[in-house]
Amino acid sequence: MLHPYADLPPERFWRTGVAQDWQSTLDAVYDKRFSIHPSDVIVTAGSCFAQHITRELKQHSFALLDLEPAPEGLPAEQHERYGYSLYSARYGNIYTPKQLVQLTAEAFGCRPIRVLPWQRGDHWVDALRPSIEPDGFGSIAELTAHRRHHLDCVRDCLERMDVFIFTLGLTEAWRDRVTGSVLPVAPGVVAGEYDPKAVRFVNFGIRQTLKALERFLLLLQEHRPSRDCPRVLLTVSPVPLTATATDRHVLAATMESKAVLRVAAAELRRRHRNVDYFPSFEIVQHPAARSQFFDANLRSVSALGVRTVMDCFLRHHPPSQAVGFEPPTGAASTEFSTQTRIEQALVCEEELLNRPTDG
Amino acid sequence: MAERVIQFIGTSHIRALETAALERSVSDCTLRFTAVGAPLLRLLLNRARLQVEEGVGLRWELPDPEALLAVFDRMGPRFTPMRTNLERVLTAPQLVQELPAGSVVVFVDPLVRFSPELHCEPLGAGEWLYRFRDQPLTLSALSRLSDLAGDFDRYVEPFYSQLPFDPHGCRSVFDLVEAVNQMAANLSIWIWRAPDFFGSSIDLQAHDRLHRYRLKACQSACLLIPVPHHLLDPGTGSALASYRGRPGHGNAAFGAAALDHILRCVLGADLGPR
Repeated sequence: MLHPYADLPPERFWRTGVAQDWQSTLDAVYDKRFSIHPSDVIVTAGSCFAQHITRELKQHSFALLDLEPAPEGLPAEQHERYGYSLYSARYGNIYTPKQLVQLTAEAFGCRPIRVLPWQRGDHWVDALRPSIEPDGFGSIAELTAHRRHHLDCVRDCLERMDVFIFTLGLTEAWRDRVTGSVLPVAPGVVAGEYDPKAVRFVNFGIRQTLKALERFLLLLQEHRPSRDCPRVLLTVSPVPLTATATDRHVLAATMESKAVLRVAAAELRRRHRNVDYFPSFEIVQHPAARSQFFDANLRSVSALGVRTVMDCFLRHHPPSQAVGFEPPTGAASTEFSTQTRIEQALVCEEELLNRPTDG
Repeated sequence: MAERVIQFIGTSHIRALETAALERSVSDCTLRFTAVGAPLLRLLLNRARLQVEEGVGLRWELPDPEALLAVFDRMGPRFTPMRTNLERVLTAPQLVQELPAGSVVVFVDPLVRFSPELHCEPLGAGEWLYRFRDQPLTLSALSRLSDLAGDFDRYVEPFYSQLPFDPHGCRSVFDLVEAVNQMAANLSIWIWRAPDFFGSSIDLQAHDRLHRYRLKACQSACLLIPVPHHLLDPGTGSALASYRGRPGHGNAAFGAAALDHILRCVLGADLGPR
């Protein structure tokens, strides 16, 4: 009997697309809208999973912009401690779209520069990028001067990029009541003190998330010298929440958060031809992987998971031939877990929520 | 009364001081000099193990000395003096002989240096913004930079192109300072920073703050010998032209004046007969 599913390809059916032979249909999970060429100037940002993407792109000689590079003479193992080499500028992790849009607005001069200093001993931590200076700043004036320089670098990045790759991480955040600034991490986790009178918890819904992403695109269009919007590749971080500040189970909170981000990405893609979505979340959460794409803590993405995501990316966006990369066909096999070790830890403020509290 | 020992340990900048010391005597003091070229100092710190031998001294334990000497077989004659220096270290690996309690140790140019690339600008209320090659950096980040505040992250030639830097080996001169500090009780340890001899513009204030920050951060027992302003061009902060010797180094007159300054600092004003 004829029905509308009769002639659909195997990847449209759960049995053949997921349960059986999932590796051969994995590439079809990514419905690629545009290509990224090795010569395209790329800027990366996002939650800590975005650091994997940055590393892989660098490793495969994509034209990744770094306008706030580590100073010459700083030992390589210190780069990430000081927030260098993680992304295209020293913004650290940007977990929410709202954080991205406020950074963009400050960089383009559409929002006054907000300085939120947190005290730690006799030093000051920039609450908007708390992990970039392990020993903090000597004074608020120094912190402010560094922030101004950073915003200049960010503006430069936003003006020059051809492709922006953004990893959507969280919907939950803490907002400074006075300035309205959204923080990457709650006060008291890295530095500062938690004072409910100074900050309030927010859990951005679909409307607010979409609005922030739309505002980001508009800012780019209005302020880039070329008056165009670059290609934007969104992805959703597969990394679950370390903890939720809602009154629900962390699993439920994670699923809702990721669902909001995923829907926002899909909607933005529908609305804008220059926006695409890459399925990091889908690949890592793939049921056929049976959790092997996660480490033992069931949160961190395993080396095999990262490898599988990035191999899929690289098959769709082949790097320069000169590098000699030959992505394996289909998904990575479990052999990769012994062949490929992703040994570098990620810089992730959210992880610190797992720390036992003092006293 | 036993003579007080003043032990100088350092790079090629030690020579001018040693020459000046031959010309004078310091009452109740014995001046000792141990020179290790800066390229060799980096190599030894990174590859050798420092052995403190109680009552004897401090010596290097270098694994695979043949491999080190082989480096020079592949290099031109320019490096022959350094090969001789290495051979000397290999035959006599004692860096410092026994130091009596209460001795003075002066580290000369121990990679705690002045760079024309470091500047600071006032931010008001006694606060400063530091820039290195125009990039704003905190004192914490600056203190990690190679060859600026005692740390290093690579060799220089002839070793740079011939031997891999050991990422697990020592990479700070303050490990040596600490080892020396363990040799005897009540040592007084100082750092002498050789000034710039190229006529570069040096921000002395920025360096002073950085170097003090570094000493505090690593809880070093060291003290900085104050910058000898009277030997420097006030316009640039580098050594007066009349004190320049071979490229990058001070001449004999500088050595004499610098030794004078150092002794004043480490012993107080009592310099003994001239």
